[in-house]
Amino acid sequence: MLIREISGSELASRLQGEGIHLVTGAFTIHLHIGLPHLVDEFAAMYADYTVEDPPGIDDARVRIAARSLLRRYVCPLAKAWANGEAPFDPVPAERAYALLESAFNWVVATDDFAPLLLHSAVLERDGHALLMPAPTGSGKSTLCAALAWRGWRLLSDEMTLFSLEDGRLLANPRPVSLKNKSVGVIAAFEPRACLTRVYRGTPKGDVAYMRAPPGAVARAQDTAVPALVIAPAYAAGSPAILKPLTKVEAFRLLTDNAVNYSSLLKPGFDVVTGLAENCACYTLTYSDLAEAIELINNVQSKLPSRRAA
Amino acid sequence: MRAWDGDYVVYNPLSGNTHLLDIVTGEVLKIIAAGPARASTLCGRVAEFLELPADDANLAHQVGEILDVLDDLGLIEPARGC
Repeated sequence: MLIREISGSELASRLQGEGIHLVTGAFTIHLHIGLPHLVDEFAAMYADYTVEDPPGIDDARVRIAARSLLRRYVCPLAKAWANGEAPFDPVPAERAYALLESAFNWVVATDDFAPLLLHSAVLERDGHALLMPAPTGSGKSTLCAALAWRGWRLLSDEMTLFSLEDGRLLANPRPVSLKNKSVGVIAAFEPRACLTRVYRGTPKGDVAYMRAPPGAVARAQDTAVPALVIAPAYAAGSPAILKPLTKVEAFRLLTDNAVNYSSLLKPGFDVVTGLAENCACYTLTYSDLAEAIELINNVQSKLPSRRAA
Repeated sequence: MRAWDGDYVVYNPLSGNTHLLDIVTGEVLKIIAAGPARASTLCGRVAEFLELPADDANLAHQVGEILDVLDDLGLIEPARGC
């Protein structure tokens, strides 16, 4: 059953009661929400996602609620519990949605049984998966959001999950986090993009979220084969420039962005060396989204053809 | 262990660390990985690899330093009798 097939009152009742088992691609999250306004914001962004009913095995638990009963009424604060821990400071209740997304990221990044996790956006086109490893502020999410409306299937904006068994990428498509000026850039770039309101004053500045395109959510169980690694860097006024990376440079880029590389030992080494050897790897400096996408499409179109996963 | 573009990337199963080695250090490790070798043999193999005379004055010193580095990283250890 999809979220949008559940009536608003029933969804609120379930989220505030026994919770729902939300399938976000490779991750199923047992979710409780105790804040009525957050139920509405969540339902708007996750309308196309599946609720597992009856539930299977959850990968994580997330609960967002008022910090205390008194705080529900006086300067209300929202607090997140993730797998029984409280990893974040409480935030003003009007920013609860941003807290929910942070909690979702946290449970993926700290999962004990996770495959190799790379701080990277990942999208797929014609069977070729594109990884974009980059730190916050590099323009990764903006480019990712734009590509997701130009023929690329969104697998993840934040975290790439590699299966250590077959080296394929698992999908975890969720709303794309846009910061500061990127919000207006994407709103102007793509009229179909559905954005939340702007949450002001988060640790990352002003943040809004773009709903994952429905096609990406519908194919959330489809894995993809890594073929292209591009590390983007936004530079105001710069023309779009792609520069090839050596295998060693690509290896260092990937390990620098791998969250759990050192804990995976030899299997992690094998996956990352395989990526450096088998993917075409570049850095991309850009300021204009359309120019950047044209360059990316150009290198992707020259890759050996591959059937879509 | 991977040899890429004149560099070696090596996984160390004892420490769990990954090391980036230059081409000569990687070559020394590759020789030792194939089997224990005396320092004089190593010098000869490295001289051959670098196309230097086998009696190059600095070579023994440089190979000694490379062996120390590899030993410190836990990638090799001295064998009795070598």
